[in-house]
Amino acid sequence: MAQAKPKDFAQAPTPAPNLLRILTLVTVIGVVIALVFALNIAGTDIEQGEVQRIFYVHMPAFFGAFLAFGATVLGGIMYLWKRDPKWDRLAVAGVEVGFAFAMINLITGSIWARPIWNTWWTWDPRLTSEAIMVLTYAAYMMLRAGIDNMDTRRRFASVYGILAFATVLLTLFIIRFREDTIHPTVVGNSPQNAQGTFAASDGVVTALMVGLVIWGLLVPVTLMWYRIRLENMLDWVNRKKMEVLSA
Amino acid sequence: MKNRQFGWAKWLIIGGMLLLVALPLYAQEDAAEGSSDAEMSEEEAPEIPFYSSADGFNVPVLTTWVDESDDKTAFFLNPDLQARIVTTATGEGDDPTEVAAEALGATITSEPIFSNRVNTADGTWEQRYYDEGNSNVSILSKIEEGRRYVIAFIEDDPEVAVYMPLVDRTWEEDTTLPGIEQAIESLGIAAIDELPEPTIETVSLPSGDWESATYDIDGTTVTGYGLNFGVTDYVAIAIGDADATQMVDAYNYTLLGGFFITSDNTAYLYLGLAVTAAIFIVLLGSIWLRWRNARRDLSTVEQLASD
Repeated sequence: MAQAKPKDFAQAPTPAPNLLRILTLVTVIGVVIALVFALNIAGTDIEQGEVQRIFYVHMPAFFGAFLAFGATVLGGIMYLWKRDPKWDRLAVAGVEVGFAFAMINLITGSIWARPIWNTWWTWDPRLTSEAIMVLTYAAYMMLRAGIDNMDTRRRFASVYGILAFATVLLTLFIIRFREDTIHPTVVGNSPQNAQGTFAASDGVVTALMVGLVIWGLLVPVTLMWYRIRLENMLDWVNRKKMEVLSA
Repeated sequence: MKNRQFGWAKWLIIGGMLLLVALPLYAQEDAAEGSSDAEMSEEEAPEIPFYSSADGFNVPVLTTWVDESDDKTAFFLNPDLQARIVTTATGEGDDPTEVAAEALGATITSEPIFSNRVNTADGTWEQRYYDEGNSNVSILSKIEEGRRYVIAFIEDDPEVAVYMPLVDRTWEEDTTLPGIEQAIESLGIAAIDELPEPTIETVSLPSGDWESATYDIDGTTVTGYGLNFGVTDYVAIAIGDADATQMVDAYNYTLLGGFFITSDNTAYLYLGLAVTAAIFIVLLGSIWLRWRNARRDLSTVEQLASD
């Protein structure tokens, strides 16, 4: 009887496909364009000054994190359903890339707050939920690295990755049920206590839209693709090691 | 072999991701709907055109006055009223009177009839008032971040003399009358205890609802206008029969309507960009290092397998 192909097997590593090369080039050019829009084309906010331009990275970075963590949820669900490691690779890529974007979002927000709110940090509902989100995904990476059994690790990571998304949704929606937040809303009107809001002129909207496409979509997708290839490579090396050891 | 790592599922991923991207926008819009007060205030708030100086300060544009501003100095004049309002910035050590005179194109040779310092919500201002015969000059200046900012008003109408002093609010009554009377005394027009009973009215101007008190002092009409804002009463004193409300409104619109200084916080922007770049460099470097190490491991394993 023919033996079923073990699902643990990774694909043999291949050179980067043309689509990835093109995507990388487009992403690099996109980042340059996004910076030009943020630093030159959008006008200077007369109340907040130059530091307001951080928003063109800060806000799209959350979208990038959201997209990547969303990929983790998708990967987790599909892995638990199909038990195919390729979905786990998507999930771990999402966490690693999403964590980088969440850190950018958190730190740039703190840097903006220093001149505008006169503090690096305040326990505002949205800032607190964002910090919890970052710590939750940091714990994902640490706990995942601490489990040796591959199947157990993947199952654990899938469940954790799905549940952790609750912190992302909490961060996103907390301004709906905690109106005491001082965090400004960029799209739409800010809560009445928001401090450091800014009017969205045409230049601001254009720079934000460009930023959202580049930082919120192109960059995370490109990075996740590279990270998936790395995870596939690591699985492939592990497979080869096992073959040599069992020979 | 063709890489089919994702197959049909890639379209599911792409579609799902695009739908996910819409969710944050949805959440933000809902938050906006939830804050009806903010929505209402934004709809009702008039859009104020601002002049922004290369020196960092901003003032509302006086749309009904002639705008002769350049990139560093806001300069508005009204030929009918024979009045000019200027806002400029200069070095910390410069004399505000000389700066104002130069910016206004005026000659100020007399000593100030009144000067002092006043603490407003916007910081401490030095104020000086000059009577140059037909011209009357009001000068405010303050030092911030190593620069001196000067706001000055002059009117050349021989039929009227207008001054725009600020008064620290030291009384609790809900009236600006004490501030008006203090200003009249400070400017040397008349002592408070010698002032006759005024005629008090409320004057609605674009800059706010002003309390006006009109006095007949030795046959001369003196009208005081007062508007309270926090710890400061904004006062205007007009001597003569001419209507000074347009001047009062225009000058105080500059002060109350939004004189503010854009902070130079470029260093924080650079810090934010540097942190962003550093995080990406760490992520990409980590991926590259792990990839390189994995390739080395793979070469070693393949070497062992071939042996």
